[in-house]
Amino acid sequence: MFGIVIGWILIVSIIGFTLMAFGADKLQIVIHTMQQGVGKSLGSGLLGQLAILPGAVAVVVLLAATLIGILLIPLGLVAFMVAVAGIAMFGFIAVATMTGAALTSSTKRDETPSGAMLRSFFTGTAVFLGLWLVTAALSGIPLLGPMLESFTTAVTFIAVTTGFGAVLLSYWRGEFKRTDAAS
Amino acid sequence: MTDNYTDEEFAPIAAAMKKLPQFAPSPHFADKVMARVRIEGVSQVPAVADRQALQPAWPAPIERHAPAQVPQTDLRRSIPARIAATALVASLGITMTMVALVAVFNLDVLLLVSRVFGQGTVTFLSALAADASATATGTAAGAGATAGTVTGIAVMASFAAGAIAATAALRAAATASRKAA
Repeated sequence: MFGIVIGWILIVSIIGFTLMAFGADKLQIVIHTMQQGVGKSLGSGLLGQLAILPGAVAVVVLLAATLIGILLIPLGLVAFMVAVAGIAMFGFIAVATMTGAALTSSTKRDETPSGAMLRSFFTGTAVFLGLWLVTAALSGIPLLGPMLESFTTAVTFIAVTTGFGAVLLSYWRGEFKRTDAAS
Repeated sequence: MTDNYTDEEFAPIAAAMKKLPQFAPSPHFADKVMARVRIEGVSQVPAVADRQALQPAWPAPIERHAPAQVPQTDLRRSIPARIAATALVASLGITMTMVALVAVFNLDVLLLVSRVFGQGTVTFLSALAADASATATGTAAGAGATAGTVTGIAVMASFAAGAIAATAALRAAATASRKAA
């Protein structure tokens, strides 16, 4: 389990740093959406997760309309799942950054907003994946291990769902387009 | 400006002028000024009052005005919305067609699929369904087996506690980060 957790830390770190380098404004939009209402984001995330399976069916049906599309069904399904996973990862990074910003709000040691965001992301990711490290360390204990694993799963599920919903909500409100138009 | 003053004399005046508050003209200042301007040669042009005097004595006919322009809703939708709508219509259409074919002609759906897409597709779909069913059954059986035990109850309670705690923590984090921003 330690290997899986370390692997996830690396993956989240790489994607998070890349996102901050090339899409910090988008990340800020998603964080702003969550700040306006965690409940709305969580609800949207749950609805979005319920729509994943119908969405996959819709992709298959749309591709099956043409002969070439039938051949592309596996590729289309993979692309759809990659897109869903990407949105979920984007949302989780936003949740981690927001959590880190809340934890490090008292310390004003960063000269630039990018530095503050990087610190927030690092802190938030450490909190969420630190939970998994503790869970991995205590997984051998008979009753406590499964309980901790269940607890951490729930925390991660809520975080990913909230972030997923915040990304969908921001997209639905057209806030990403507004940033593009402004820039 | 300094023709009548030496530089030494003008310096305090300039300093005093700099201390004066800056005023901006009222919005219609320029119009009011231009209304008082008289230009030679255009005095024969009838003014607005004269123009009213030239109007006929009979009452003006009732003019038919076009209805006021109501802002039209932009019916264009984004590409994802179009894709979703198309998918919905397409899936509905295919489902209705399948239902009609099966109901009217008493077709075997698997046979139809195998004829259209080949035997391999049916095998693949069957295997996929069997795998999904086995996974769901196994998960449900596992959950059911532990549901009645102390461990099962503790695990479910931990999940609920984690979900509630995470939601509360995220709410607090959102408030704190908003205040910090």
